Amino acid sequence: MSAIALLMGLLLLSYVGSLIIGGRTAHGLPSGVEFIGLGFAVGPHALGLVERSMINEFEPIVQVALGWLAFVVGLDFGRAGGRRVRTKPLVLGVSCAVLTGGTVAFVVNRMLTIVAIPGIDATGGLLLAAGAGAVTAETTRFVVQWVAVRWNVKGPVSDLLVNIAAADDLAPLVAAGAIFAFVPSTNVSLDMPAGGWFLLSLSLGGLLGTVTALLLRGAEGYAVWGALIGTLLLGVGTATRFGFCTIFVTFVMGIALAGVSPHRRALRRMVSPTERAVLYPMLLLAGAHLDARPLLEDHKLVAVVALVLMARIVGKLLSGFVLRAAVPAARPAGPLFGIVLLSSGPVSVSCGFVFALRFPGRVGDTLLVCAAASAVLGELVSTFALKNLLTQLGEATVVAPAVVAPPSAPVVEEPAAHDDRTSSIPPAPSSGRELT
Amino acid sequence: MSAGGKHGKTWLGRGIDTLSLGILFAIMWGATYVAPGYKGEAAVVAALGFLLLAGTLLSELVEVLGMPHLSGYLFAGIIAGPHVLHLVEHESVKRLEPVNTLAIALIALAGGAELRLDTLKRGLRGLLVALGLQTFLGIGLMALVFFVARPAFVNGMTALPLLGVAILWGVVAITRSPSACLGVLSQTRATGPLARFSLGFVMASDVVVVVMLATAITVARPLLEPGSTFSLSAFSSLGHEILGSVSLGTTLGLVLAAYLKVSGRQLLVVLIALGFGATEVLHYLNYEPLLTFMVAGFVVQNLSKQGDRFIHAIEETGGVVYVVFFASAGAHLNVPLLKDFWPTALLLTGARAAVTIGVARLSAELANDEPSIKKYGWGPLISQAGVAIGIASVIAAKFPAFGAGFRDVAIACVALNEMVGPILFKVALDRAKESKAPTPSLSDAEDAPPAAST
Repeated sequence: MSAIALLMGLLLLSYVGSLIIGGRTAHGLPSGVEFIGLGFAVGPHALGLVERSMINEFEPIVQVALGWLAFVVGLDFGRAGGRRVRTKPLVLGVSCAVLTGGTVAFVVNRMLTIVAIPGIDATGGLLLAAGAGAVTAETTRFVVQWVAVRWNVKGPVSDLLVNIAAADDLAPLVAAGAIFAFVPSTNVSLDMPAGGWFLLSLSLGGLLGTVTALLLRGAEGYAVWGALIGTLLLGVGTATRFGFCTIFVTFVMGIALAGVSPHRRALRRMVSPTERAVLYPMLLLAGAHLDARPLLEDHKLVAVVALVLMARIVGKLLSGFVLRAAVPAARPAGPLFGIVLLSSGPVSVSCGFVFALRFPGRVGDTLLVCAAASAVLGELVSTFALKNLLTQLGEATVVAPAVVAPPSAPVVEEPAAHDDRTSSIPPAPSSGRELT
Repeated sequence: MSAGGKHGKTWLGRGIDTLSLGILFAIMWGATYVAPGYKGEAAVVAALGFLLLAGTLLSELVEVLGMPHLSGYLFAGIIAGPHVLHLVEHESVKRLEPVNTLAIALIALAGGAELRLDTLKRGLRGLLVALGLQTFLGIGLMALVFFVARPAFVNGMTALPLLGVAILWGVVAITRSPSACLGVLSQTRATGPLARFSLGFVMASDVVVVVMLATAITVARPLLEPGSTFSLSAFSSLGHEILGSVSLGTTLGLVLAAYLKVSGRQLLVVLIALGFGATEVLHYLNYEPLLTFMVAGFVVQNLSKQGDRFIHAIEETGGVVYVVFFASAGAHLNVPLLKDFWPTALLLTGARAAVTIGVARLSAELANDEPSIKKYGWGPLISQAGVAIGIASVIAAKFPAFGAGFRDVAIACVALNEMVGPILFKVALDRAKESKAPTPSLSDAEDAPPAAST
């Protein structure tokens, strides 16, 4: 397959993704894992329709796509369904992600100190353990929204889960940023401790977010998209050049832009419909990038992946206990409440993908496999566990697919009075398209 | 509108734009300083973003001087490019060429879609007279100037070969820049006789130039290479190229019109797919992408009711692409070459401008055009860009004996015309009172009541 044919295929997927956003029901699987499967099937390790060299050629596009997704997450961070997430669920969401990620990282690190794996030295072992923690920390907001759309869900537990899933993206993205800071690029001429690199990547994201806000001040027509795309490209390019974590930089950029710009609500409405259009091609390329050969060559790596999944289950079960202890409304959910938190999706795969791109070889490949396996596990276990739980709690009604807004589109914009930063701004128009 | 006014329209706004531009340059400089000699793909990604932002900001700042946005894009590229600050390296500029492919497709689609049959019919006489005179008188007079000026790279040539080179130079001199014309028209949103004339002339002249190049090469070859025989074989492939392009363009236009009527969703993705995918197919078939897309746009506008919707979609997509297109063109401009060849370039550029203005006045009088065309009809004809360089490169490849010098002088002349031409065109549109107000801003959208924006 030629590069142009692959590009056409990706554009087709993007088109499909954008149509799904425009639709009125939740199509496909919530994590989008089928696109990872499709990518793997056409990739160099299965049918071979897409060659490895071609995937490498598309690396800049992948980095930009990953950056854009993290930027969208940052722009909408701390908000669920158009409403701001309150402090308690926000803290709980981040804590649960840290707990899960910490558990996974600890267990993997312990294993690697006991069992030596050829080709993974001490630094590589730490990287693999920390990366596994980052990759498996989140619970995707898509699955909760997907279930909510399919089964017309409404109630305190589903609200809690939506808020938790919206808040916990912070942990894996910051963790990825921190991990990358420990392994600076060999291209840089500056010598700095890891903390310095982390602060520099944080500052780059913050600065770019602020510059974007300045550029958007009264920007006209296409200049709005130009400013968003331009700063994103500059951010991704500069971050990659420095060896920073691109998704961390653009995530911070999104948060900074949302914090500084008075047009944050209009911007959210503009960019949120692009999420799936970018996501599907990214998942396909992630699938094509999946390389299971290291695992086949050394079965200890298979054990690492299995351990990661088990530790993730333990971490999420512990998170379930924490949630039940902290939120009375969650107590009727029972001791296995954490199972419904197992679903993972775009943020996990993005994390796995940036690790695979930045640390090619056994560590990166294993982390991407962990992310994909985690998404599959979540899809098999969590989605229907969640549906069953919400049905038992009386929050879900099994009806035909509901005619409500699609998963990633905000259902209701918060009332201006709830947002002290935007209270003086009149309601924005109903779609981003009209803004340009 | 927000309290701060429109982007960069107040002194405070311009100050903030300057500050933002400074920050961007600092980030780019920091990246170059901290990670020197980096040649990876990330440099291209960063360059793309930087050119887009710096171009947009500089375009706002040069507005103070009455310059078009396009000049801002170009200057951003020149300043940051490999010949001045080295923030964007030559390698990165080369790797940005796919953006040019997309931009050319969009420019041609937009150009074709802007050509409305009824308005073309009204100004057809003037257009044909101008095209005829600018082509034949233009080639003749510029060949004469070249023959008399005898630049250094043809020193030692006898009269007949020199005449051959002069004819070829004449063809380079009559090329225009559809991208510059559309870029200025898109910014100024100009409507009126001059805008219509400009668009019609520049788009049609692109086809004429292709024919004239084949003719000039056929005529010049026996003069330059005495052993060679006069052959019309070039016209056979040219005919195939033109007819094929028109046929495929018509089909593409009809398909696009049908898509717009039936669905019309996600035109951004469709246009990007067309820009990259269809161009690849056209190159494979040896057809002319510019002509094909122009015909496609023309068909959508004139054989369906989807023209306005189509133009709107291209404007939304193209706006961002044009900035990068012109900024990378600026970065590509070989400024040192201009420094080496400036006396020749200045003479030939000055002569070209004089010939263009003189012939434009003459043709407008003969055709009894509207007063604005009589006065400012030369406005869109000064700019030159990629087409001229492309033709010079073709000539350089076909005639290696003098090709390199020919191409270098042509690039130096194009550099001057590329910088000055858009400014003159904007001045002409402003003076003809055909420029319009800018598009609504994000602040306007925020401030507008919901009902008003639907």
